[in-house]
Amino acid sequence: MAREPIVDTRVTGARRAADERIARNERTSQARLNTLLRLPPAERLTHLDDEDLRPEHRTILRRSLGRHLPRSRWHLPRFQLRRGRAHRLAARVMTSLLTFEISVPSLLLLGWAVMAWHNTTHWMELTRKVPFNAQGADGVVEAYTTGPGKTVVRYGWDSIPRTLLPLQDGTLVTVTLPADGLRPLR
Amino acid sequence: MPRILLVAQDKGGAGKTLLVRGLAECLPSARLIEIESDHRLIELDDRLAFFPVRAARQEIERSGGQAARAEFDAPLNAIAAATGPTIVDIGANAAASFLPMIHTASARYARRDISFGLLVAVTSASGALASAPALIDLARPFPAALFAVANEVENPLDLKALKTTLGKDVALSRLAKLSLDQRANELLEKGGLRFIGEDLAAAEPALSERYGFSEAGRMLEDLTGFRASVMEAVAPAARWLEG
Repeated sequence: MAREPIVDTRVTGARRAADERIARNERTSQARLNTLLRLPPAERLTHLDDEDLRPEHRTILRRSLGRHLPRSRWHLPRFQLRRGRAHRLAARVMTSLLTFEISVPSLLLLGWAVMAWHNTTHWMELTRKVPFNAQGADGVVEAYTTGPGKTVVRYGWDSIPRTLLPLQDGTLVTVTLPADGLRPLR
Repeated sequence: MPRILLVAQDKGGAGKTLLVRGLAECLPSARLIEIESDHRLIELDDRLAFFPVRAARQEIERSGGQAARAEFDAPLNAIAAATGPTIVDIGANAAASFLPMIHTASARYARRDISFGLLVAVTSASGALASAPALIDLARPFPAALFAVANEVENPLDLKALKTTLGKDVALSRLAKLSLDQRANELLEKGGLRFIGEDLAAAEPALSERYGFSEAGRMLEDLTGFRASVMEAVAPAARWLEG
């Protein structure tokens, strides 16, 4: 009669003992879980970290409380791409978009501010006499003078201050003003 | 026909003594020889002969192994006197000197019908990886069954590359990653695998009283699982030893 191999018997026995120990601990944990699930939700809350429970049974206990917890009326939309490459890509796109959406409107606003400043009427007062020539409606060029103390509206897209002055016949002429002969109107 | 299984690894901390304990659990009839600087297999004293190695590593290297030679006479004699399966735990830094002496005496051992096997413990530590193929090469000149256990308890190993490095004639098994909590580890250190197999169930009430019912249950689960895994890892070598 062949002798039973000792090593195989011993190794199989050791594994069986280990499996039985796991099964015993699982039964103990399951019994504890069953007891806790019969408790009111408020009491169950105090046993979420119960040491007699295996991790999977702690999860079941925690989930059993879900429907008893108060729900918030408002929910922020969940961003599903939470991890991994997709998350990093999404974060990069969001950063780029935010950069674009902030920088472009800022530049446009700055441009509009400059245009608005140029188009704003600047009331000035002439501090000295200003001679100028103007051609009337009859085509004759005549010499005129204006100021000092005359209130004018300065305009112009460049650094040369100009204004429009009406002649006696109602004609409007553009007159270049001396920069040192003007002061803001008080 | 006595079979002698030499368990070696010149790098310390590779789990060699753990594998010896696993072998002892697999085959309770096997005798043990421990060649170490410190006596560690205390729980196996009833079946063990301890031979201290005192020569320092520097002295062994300087003298080309001469310093250790005289100390190896007693364990070589103990091997020659073996009448049944014997496990030889060769301490760190001793195997590179000890294996050539087995080779030198292999013909005389053969006349006594003594055959050898070699089991090498391998971890991801560079020293252990370098030592393993060197030790196996030292055993190849004398007929020996060759075994290796990839100890992945702490870090994984590339088993395919390891198999290629060690050679096709080496039976490679693995001890997978395991985690023991601190108290379970302390118990393992104190009592070894033998305590787990023989006394742990009886100790359950005392452990429950000391650590609490739940934690004691987890410790028992971890320790019995660990014992089974170690025994499975060394089972190929233990089967050879059994004959």
